[in-house]
Amino acid sequence: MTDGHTDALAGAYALGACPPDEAQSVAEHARTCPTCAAEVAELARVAEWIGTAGEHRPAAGLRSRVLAAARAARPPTTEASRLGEVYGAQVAELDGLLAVLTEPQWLLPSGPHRSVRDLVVHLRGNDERVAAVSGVDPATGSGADPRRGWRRQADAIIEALDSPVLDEPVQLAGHAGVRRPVREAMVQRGFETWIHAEDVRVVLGLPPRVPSARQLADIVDFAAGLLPGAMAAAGRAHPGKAVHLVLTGPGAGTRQIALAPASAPAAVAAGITLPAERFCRLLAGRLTSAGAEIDGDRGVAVDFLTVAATMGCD
Amino acid sequence: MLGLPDQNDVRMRDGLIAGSEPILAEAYDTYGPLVYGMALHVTRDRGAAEDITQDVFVDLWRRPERYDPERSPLRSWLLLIARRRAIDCIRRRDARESARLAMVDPPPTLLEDDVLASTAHKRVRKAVADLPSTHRQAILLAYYRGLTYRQVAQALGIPEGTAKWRLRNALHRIGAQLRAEGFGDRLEYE
Repeated sequence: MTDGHTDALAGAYALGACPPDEAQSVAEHARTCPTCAAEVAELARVAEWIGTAGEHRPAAGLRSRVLAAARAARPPTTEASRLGEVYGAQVAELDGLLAVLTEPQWLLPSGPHRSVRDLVVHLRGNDERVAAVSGVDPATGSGADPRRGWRRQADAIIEALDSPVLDEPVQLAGHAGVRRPVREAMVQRGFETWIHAEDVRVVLGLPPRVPSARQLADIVDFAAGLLPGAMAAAGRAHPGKAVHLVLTGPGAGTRQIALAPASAPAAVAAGITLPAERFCRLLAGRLTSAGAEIDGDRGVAVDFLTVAATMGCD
Repeated sequence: MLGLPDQNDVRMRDGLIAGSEPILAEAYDTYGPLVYGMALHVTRDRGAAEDITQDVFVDLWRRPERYDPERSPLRSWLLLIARRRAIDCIRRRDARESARLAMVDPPPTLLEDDVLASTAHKRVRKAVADLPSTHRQAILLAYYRGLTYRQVAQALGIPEGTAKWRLRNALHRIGAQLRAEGFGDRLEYE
């Protein structure tokens, strides 16, 4: 730069009107010169104002044309295929673990169950309700080999998922009488399958495995929808109060969860921070201590975490 | 400076990567007029502007991972892509013709039915219109024709140093006028 700065190129640069080598010099200089960086940023903003001021509504027909061309270029993922994919990944994971178990290992205690065999029978039973409302043949999961029956039924559930089925109400596992649409029950099926895969990993002496960020976020959303009712059912409701949940790591996000079923907005009484993965393990009843950072009303936070820890499917 | 990444942009990118068609529709509904408006200003041709708009959103849908919310807002990124594509489009047309067109005002039939022109938009357009014509021509050639400042100098028959100075000074003038009218970092919509 001849003047030690951008050599009066800031305007041309902001408009994308520098030859490539000069544009690179300006960018490099601006990285170490706050004065020029500020000028370039301001002029780029002005250039964007000019562009934005040219906004013009396209003809109405263009929208469907664009969406059709996009669909042809890359098929969209439907909600059913996405839910099936997330669940299917955990089914494949658990099946792979079960495949390597020895006969004696099948008889070892796993999670809260007396044996791995009991765990698989229990999981197959919990999956059965979703299979039934999805129109899966009731004989699909039967048979003497629990692994094969469970897997056949799980595959049939994925196969049967489509958008009308997602709206069907079904009784969730673990919560007597709580009915939710299949779309939520599928999140719970994936959640339970993951947790049991973790139980089996303990039997095999394998380290824990973190699910996808997307699955963790789905599980948190699922639980967040149930928690206000669960607080009341557990006799620990705090009407008018909420917790601000800050989840970190994969599946990170914040949620405000009311501590009683009510339509009125609730005021935040406590803040709770912990990794999303830990929160999901807590929900499954697999943690003895949440290890969460708590701000505000400790009693409220403890009530919340205590009820959250009962949201599993065992 | 605006904080990056914008959480809404992150949400949209994640949705596009996941293949969510409703998110694509939301992106089109939010930014379609911006992309189409840019393409129309550059090409002065409705058909070409529609084709460019389609290409921009189909590309966003096919390769959403190319957009990085850490580097720029989605709005700025789409505007830049639309401008580049539109400039490529006119480069394929007669360069001399497009240079001539850049210096005349847009044909009224093309732009007058602009229902989206908010007061903020009108103020920006007025700030551009209020520039001395020498400055305005330089800006329009660079921004809407994709000319480098050297090509601007050539097209206007002025020294390169003058072209550089006009581009910089023109943006400063517009910025000062709009800041004086209370513009913040984001163009306010009404």
